[in-house]
Amino acid sequence: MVTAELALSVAFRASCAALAIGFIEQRVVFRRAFGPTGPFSPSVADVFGRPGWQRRLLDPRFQYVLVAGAAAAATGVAAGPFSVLGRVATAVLVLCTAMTKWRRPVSSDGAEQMAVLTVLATGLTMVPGMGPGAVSLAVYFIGGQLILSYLTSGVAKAVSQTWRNGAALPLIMGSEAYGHPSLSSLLQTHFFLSKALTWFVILFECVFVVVLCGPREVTVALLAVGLGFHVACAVTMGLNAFLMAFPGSYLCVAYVAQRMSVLW
Amino acid sequence: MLALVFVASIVNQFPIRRWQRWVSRWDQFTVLPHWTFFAPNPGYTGTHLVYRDRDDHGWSSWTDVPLPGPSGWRGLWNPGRFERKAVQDLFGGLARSVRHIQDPRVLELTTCHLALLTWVDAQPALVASPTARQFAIVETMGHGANRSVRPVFVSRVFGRGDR
Repeated sequence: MVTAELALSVAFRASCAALAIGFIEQRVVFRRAFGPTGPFSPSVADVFGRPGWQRRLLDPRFQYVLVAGAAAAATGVAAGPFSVLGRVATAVLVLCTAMTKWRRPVSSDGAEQMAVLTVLATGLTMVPGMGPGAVSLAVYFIGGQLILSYLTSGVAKAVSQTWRNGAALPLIMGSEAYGHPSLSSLLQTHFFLSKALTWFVILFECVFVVVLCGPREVTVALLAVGLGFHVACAVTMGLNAFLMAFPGSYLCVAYVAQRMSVLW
Repeated sequence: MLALVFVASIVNQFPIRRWQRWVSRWDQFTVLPHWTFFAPNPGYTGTHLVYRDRDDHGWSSWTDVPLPGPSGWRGLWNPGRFERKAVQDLFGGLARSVRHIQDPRVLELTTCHLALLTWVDAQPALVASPTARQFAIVETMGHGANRSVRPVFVSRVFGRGDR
């Protein structure tokens, strides 16, 4: 039996872990990426029309925002969402994330978005005056976003000729940004394998929504497949933050499934 | 509030231009997600930002704006992903603008073009006394000997005093 508190706690901690790694990674490349010749220089950020007070207040000390974000996210992992320390960490994390979005208006990805949505939903449960159902609502929201993400992505792949004919995975593996040279040549020489894997991804993402009405065994199997899928994406494509932000929300999906499915 | 965000998230999955314009205006922190990972068109190219300088003797060779390559441990640790994604996102935005804006002078005033120009403008000079600079986006496909390269956007020539 999955409780709303357990599901939210795991999702929050996993999202904090994803955001912590992101903050630390950005701090590591700070001089190059956020410096005067980098893509997130103050001049480039100004092109996107960020507020002037942010420029005056934060530009000389922006690396401390990244450090504070990493520290808050790490505290969130350790303390969870239901302690005073966790609440303070959430507030700081939301603030640092907003500051970073102003300074780095591009280069966000789905993992960061999922993690931010999870932290925001968790943060709303901490607002004074929220009733006892707030945690459950937040879990529904996070689980719903995850199911929506797979369904949208699966349908978008299913209507794409490149995905349907099995060419997508060899193409992605052949790319510099997300590719893997040996896997690329393997998939190009074994087209049946390529087509099977491509259709596996399409079917998994499209079928995932079945968790809302399927029996418990089906839900557990789909979540296990999803975990394997994200491990594979992390190893082969370098999508490291997805590994925490998405599977970390799986207990939210399990909670929604057990509440909604008559077959659970 | 969560219910509202969730309903808005569902609407955001559909290609409704008016809605997307409204969202991009008000959702500055991109809270509303658009979940179409690598679909319908999978990102299969590497995107590079290159530039060259001109002096009295002619043009320098095209040079990459330096970007970190992926590391062997990128499944766990991938700090270069932000810079690599920046080129992709800025070029993606520019490519979307190219589809709707015919006038090159108007295109030059789009946010993504200005951001790319600002980024390129900050790069070190390639010749001793440059009088002009030009940048381009090139896409690569494949690895090793099978790697192909093609330019997908070439800017106009900017005098070093233009900005």
